[in-house]
Amino acid sequence: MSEIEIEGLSVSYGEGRGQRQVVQGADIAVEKGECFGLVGESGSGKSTILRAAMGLAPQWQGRIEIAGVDARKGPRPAFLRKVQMVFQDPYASLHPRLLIGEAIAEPMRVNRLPRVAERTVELLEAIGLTAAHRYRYPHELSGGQRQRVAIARALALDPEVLLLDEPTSALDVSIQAEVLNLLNKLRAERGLTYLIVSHDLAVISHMCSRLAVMKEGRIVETLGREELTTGAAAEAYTRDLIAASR
Amino acid sequence: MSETAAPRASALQARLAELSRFARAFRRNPLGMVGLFIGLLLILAAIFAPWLATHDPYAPDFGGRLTPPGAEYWLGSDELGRDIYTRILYGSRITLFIVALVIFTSAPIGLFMGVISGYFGGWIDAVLMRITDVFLAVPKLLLALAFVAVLGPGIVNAALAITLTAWPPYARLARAETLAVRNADYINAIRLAGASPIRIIARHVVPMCTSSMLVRVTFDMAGIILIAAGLGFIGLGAQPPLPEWGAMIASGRRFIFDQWWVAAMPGAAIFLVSLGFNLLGDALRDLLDPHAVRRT
Amino acid sequence: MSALLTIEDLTVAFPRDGGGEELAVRGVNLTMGREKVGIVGESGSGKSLTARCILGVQAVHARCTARAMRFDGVDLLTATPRQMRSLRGGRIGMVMQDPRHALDPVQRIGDQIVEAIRLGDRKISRRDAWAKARNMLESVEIREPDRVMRLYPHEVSGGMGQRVMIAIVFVREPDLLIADEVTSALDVTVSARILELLDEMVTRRNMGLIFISHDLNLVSRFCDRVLVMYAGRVVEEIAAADLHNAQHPYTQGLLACMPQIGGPQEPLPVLQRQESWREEGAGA
Repeated sequence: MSEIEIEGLSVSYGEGRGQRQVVQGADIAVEKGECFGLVGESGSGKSTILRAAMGLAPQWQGRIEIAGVDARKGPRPAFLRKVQMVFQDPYASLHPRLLIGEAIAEPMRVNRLPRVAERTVELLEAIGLTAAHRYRYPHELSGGQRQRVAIARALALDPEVLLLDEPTSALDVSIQAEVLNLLNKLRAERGLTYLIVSHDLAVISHMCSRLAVMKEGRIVETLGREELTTGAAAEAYTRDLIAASR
Repeated sequence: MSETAAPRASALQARLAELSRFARAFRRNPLGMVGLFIGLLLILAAIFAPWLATHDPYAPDFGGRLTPPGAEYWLGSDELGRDIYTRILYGSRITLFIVALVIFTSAPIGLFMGVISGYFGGWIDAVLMRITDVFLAVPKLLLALAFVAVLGPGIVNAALAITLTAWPPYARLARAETLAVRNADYINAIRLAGASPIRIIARHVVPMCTSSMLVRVTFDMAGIILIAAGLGFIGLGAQPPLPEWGAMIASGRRFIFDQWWVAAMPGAAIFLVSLGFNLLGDALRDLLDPHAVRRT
Repeated sequence: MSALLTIEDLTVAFPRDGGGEELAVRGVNLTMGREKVGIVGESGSGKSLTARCILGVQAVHARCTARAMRFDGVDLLTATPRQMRSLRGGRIGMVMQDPRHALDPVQRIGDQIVEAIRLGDRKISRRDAWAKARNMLESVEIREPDRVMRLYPHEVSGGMGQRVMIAIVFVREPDLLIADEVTSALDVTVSARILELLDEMVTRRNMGLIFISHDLNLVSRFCDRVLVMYAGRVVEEIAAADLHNAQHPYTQGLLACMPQIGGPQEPLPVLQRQESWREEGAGA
């Protein structure tokens, strides 16, 4: 059994005549410890898959099971202890009135975990900040530091799987390199499984062993890193995408 | 940007640093400082009225009726020979009491209704907002009048009557703010921690409403003072011999052409205080309103 | 080649919170003819501010000063607001990152292009202007110009909106085009085509182009020479073809820290920022 199993996922927004099908019949299977990429252009539905998995997209059909817990039928708290998400824009994903330490501690407080204060410091150190950053507000941090904090918050419940939604596309390339390095280090140290969404094939190539290409709500092709490197994709759309990204 | 700032050792220190940053920015707004000064003046006058007063606010002195402003009566005396300066000082207690009572009842009610409405949406939103609309549809003073007419005149009833008309705009405001943040990623992140709606609303949504509420409340203080004075003026607020400013104007109305100070002095007090709250509100909006462009 | 644009010692200052000023652009020099000049740098490096000062459209509290700033004989430092207005959108055009913010949301696309044409040529009839607008949309490769001209900006995609923006700028036949992150909001396949289009039009009309971007590779492919900005100053100026032999450690670091398709999956080299980069002269 795979760590992430998504079968026949369809997601739609709106109701009645205004209903829009955003994802249609997507199948994804990611093994434990793997980093799997999801690429596509804007509006292809790649981020929607992550949102549906986390229960942030209202209407979806199909089956999502992560780390053995069913997203629909399984208990919600248990599911959220297994999988967490990192959002695209670190300027929008941290509460402006919460101190950094509070933001990281909040998931642990909600779930009544022990040793909140010590764990907060451990997490800050794990992402390359210091204990002193606990008492900073988000607006006092740079974009890269904020995204590190968002990663620390996602790790606060010690999940097995992270869903990463364009985690570096709002950052400068030099900061992107630091965040990607951090993500790889954390994956190796903690045996995490990643499902990462990006429009940047170079980022996916750097991070992942396999990827799926999406277009207009459908997965057109799933390929390995080798085919990405050689450009030997089966679908013409994938080849165009690779050519434009070089 | 913060790399040069000194490290902080506690959350309290972080909040104080934030507060002092705010204070520094506020100090750069001279009109705001004037407003703050007037507000503080009102509070100090209310606290220290017995020490600042020159006469007894209630004891009549028929020998000194309707004396113009001078050395004995700084702001003149009224038709019963009472010192107007002293009565304005004591009146500030009544004004402050009404304002505080209205704010502390209407703002929480409005905040609660608005946040619940905005966060849950659907039929809850529809029901709560239609109730709000009903209150908004009736003219403010008319609704307050009807309420006082039923319960009888008096300061507390006047304040409650104003509350009845003051909360709906807060509900609208809180709802709008909630709609703006409820799908923000930082709220989604808290949802993904498994937090209950009550916790999300209380700890994460409400703090995002407070700054615009604060601005609105400050502006409204001026309006509340005016309505309270209006109720006093038509005899439905504070009753004689209480030195309520509106009631004082009402009693001075008869002498307005010959002994202008009887009505003009409490009028000036009302003017000054509502101007102060408006200036304060303007300054706070410049600093706190995320939609207003930062002027430098 | 006579200089089209000359900037000497451009400085932009913002008032700081606690009093005093913060320099966001420090001593930038640029002399360019009818060529393609790229300005690259990370966010906050001052690249967009530089462009905005050329047009005189910087934020109200920003203070732009320079020893000299001339555009084709016009002194931009002493130009009247009226002169500046006729330069902007006339002889100097600007295309910005997000067309959805730059287009008027309540006017049809056709009307916006026609307005731009008639601003430049007050004698042209509405009918002729409409025909000219239609031709311009065709030349930016919009397939159904008649249909698109009747649409509102929110009804078109980002790529289409950017083509419209380019059309609006080009109808006035500017001598200098400033393109600020024109493709960073677009998908890769779309942005490649937009860039080709921009390149063609600039080359054919023999215009000057200032191309601002955070993407070094893009700029090196597209421009003749490149200014690399860091913390408000130009740390390196280099011919685009030589970019991969850049001398300044900042430029080298930026190039090295980008992941490549098929590159090694080892940790990416991280940029080690040096305090001295802020202070050195223009460098290599």
